[in-house]
Amino acid sequence: MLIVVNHIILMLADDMACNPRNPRPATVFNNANQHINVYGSDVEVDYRGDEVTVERLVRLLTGRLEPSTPPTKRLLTDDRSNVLIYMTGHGGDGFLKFQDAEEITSTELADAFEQMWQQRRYNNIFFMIDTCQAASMYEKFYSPNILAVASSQVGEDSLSHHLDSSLGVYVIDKYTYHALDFMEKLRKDSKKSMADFLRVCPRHQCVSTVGVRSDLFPRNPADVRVTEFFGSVRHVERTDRLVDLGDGDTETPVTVGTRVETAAPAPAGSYRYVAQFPVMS
Amino acid sequence: MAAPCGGSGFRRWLVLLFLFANSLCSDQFNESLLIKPLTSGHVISKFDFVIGTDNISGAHFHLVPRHLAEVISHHHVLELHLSLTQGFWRHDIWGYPARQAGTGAQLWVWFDPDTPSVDESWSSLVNALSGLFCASLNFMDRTVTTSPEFAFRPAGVVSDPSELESRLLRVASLPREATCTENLTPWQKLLPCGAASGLSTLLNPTHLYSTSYHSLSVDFRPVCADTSCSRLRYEITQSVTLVHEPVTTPRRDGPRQDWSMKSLFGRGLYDACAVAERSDIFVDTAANGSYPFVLSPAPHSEVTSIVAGHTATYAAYSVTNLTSGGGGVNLRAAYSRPHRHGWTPSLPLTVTQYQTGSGQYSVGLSLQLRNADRLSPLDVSVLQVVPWYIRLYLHTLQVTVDGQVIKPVYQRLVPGRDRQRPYTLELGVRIPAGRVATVSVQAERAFLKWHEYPPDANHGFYLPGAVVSALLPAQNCTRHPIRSPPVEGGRVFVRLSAENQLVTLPTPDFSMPYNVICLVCTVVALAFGPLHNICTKRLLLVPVSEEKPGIAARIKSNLGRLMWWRRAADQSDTASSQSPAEASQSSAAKVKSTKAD
Repeated sequence: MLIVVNHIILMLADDMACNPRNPRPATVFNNANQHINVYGSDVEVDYRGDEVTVERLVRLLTGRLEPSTPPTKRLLTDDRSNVLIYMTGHGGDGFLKFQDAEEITSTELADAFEQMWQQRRYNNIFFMIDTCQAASMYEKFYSPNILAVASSQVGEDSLSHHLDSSLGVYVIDKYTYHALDFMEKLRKDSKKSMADFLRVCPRHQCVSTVGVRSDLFPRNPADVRVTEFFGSVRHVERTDRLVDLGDGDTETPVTVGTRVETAAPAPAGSYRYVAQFPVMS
Repeated sequence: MAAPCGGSGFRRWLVLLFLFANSLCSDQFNESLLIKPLTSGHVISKFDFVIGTDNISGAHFHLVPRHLAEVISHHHVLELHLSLTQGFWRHDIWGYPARQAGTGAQLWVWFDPDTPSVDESWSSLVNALSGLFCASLNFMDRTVTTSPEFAFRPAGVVSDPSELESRLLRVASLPREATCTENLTPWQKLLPCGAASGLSTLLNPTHLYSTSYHSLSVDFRPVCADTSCSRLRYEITQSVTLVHEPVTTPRRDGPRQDWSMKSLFGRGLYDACAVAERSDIFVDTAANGSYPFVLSPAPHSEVTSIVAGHTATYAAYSVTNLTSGGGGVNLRAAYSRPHRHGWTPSLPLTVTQYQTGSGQYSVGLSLQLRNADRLSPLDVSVLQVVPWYIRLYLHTLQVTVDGQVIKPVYQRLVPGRDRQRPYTLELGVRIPAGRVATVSVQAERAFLKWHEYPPDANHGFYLPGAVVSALLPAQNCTRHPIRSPPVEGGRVFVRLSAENQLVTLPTPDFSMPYNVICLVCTVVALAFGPLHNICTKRLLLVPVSEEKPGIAARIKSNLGRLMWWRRAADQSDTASSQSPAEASQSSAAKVKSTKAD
């Protein structure tokens, strides 16, 4: 995979892989011939089930999380991060449905991105959306450096690709299937540009027309490599400064945050196991 | 840092690293796999990965996973027990479990006596664990958390038992929590060898999650460092318990319930974990008497374990010796006789829980405890936690044996409070010999506020099953040859979970706001509109021509409207032809309503 697992925040509203109705547990395949198990064996789902709500998504994007939220559930990006956002599900003109109970509107999403811009939480955003009338979701964006692609225009439906008769449901959508196909053929040193990726799934393959919004993006997509959004680059800074690790004495107090931790062994005393079953007399 | 491949700087680095390694090398790691085939054909597998260490806080760790150790030391945790389970442990078929785990997520934690605020530490701890294990443990807030007094006593050593009051204990469960690959992945990353070598390579998600029962757990507790127990040591145990359904292989003279590593786990074993002190596989041969099986490769030794007067024999393998030849090893059991569904043992205690009642207002909960011993009564300790929205009528709580009400040995009832704390019932029941005791209570179902319902409100709400503890004979327990369960009074301590209950609450029709808006708008449009018109408009008679013009004339006039140059001519035409005389020629009059001024 091109992106390190802990740089991905995955929000899954339903438990598909381990659902009791899945005849092949812990697997989600990209097609009925079971070519690729997209669930994999090293997936980490950060928000799942009832945690996936519009409020949590907006809080995640804008960074307004409770102090006790663990780092794996935070979007720890800065002004040099390129953020890829992929959303899929049921949607309509100006909204995307969450959990069959609420929806996120295009204005809410646009405002969340603007807050991210004001807080310098992204360098470039690549927004992909695969729902019906998906282009309506990016029409309201007004922050700079956003490149958006949608699987269908306003008034069009995005269609599913094919049915897996052993599951009884359609396993993948047309746009996602072709986008995944494009990605699987990509290597780390690939020179393909975003313009190639935006041309994925033309009308004769996808029935719906893929929409692109590039007016907020300062560069020409043909000059931007796909790996800028779909790969992670570690910035390595080389320094000649020496770091003193101490002389290996474990009794030396090491300051962690505001609490001084000493690696001292537990005090000697007498210890014993307690009775597990309460006394009943 | 100087360039790594240059002169003296690198050597100094290396020396420092070596000194560190020496001073920290007191961690020990043992891994073991216990396979217990039952006479019913089910195969119980229990993986245990145990890390023993002297040091849980500080900045340097050897084998202890740093993420877990930091969470434990930062939150003043004395003991931590977390399990993520799918499936229900059928103790009536499989015997008593080695480790109790209620379906869903269950977490019980003992905090240090000097914790400044246990509530704050608890809420911060569940959030940290939810990020660590990719589970929604952050939903374990005060509405589902309880502090029992008799159940869940500390499993590790303590220095002063009187210091451990129930205010330091927090127990919570989320019966609805699913467990999938995303829980296994971070769990495996905590192991010293990860998923790369050793027994954890057998944990393959597609095979793990196809079992009828699987439970992932993490237990942290302090233990005795030596026999005199004057020093403490910390132990982190990560275990996986699986129960595979019987699979029969066809043979000429009948099907066999053969099993092998490939059929259970999907692959064989290639190596042991290099940092493990011991890496063993034990196969419980208790079922060998009635349904003999032959293991291949042959066991390296036989281990006998006597606990509470009961002897159990195990065939033991050392994984290092097993895999020393290179290639993979597929441990296999071949049965000599065809499979017939084996008898299930009669157990001293069986527990079942169910709901009673009907309708949307009231519900009853019943817990049935059966003592199969015909000679002596059995003492049982029950803990039942009920969410606040099933409002229990505590005056209806009773324990009956054959219709007669008996008094529990002890009882502790903590009433719940709406949206703040759940109902906690703790009872000690003495079940007479050979009888069935039923603990029952009536409740009313609450009507929640409309935003408190989950998205699939009609599915229902889960109640965690009762946790029942007793001291029982050792025959029917799944126990490890080396790590035996606590023994008290010549009997083994067993903790069981009863079934989780699914209760439907009265659910409103969520489409009502939409219906109301439609109805009100229709009423306004149909009733108010005409009424307003009648009140504010006046009817006037206006003459209009009688016949409708023919089709040709109509087409001509429409075309004429389109052709602008004809419009001027038309206008002059109509201006000249418009006269009161012509207007009055029509017999019919058109009524026009004008707005009254």
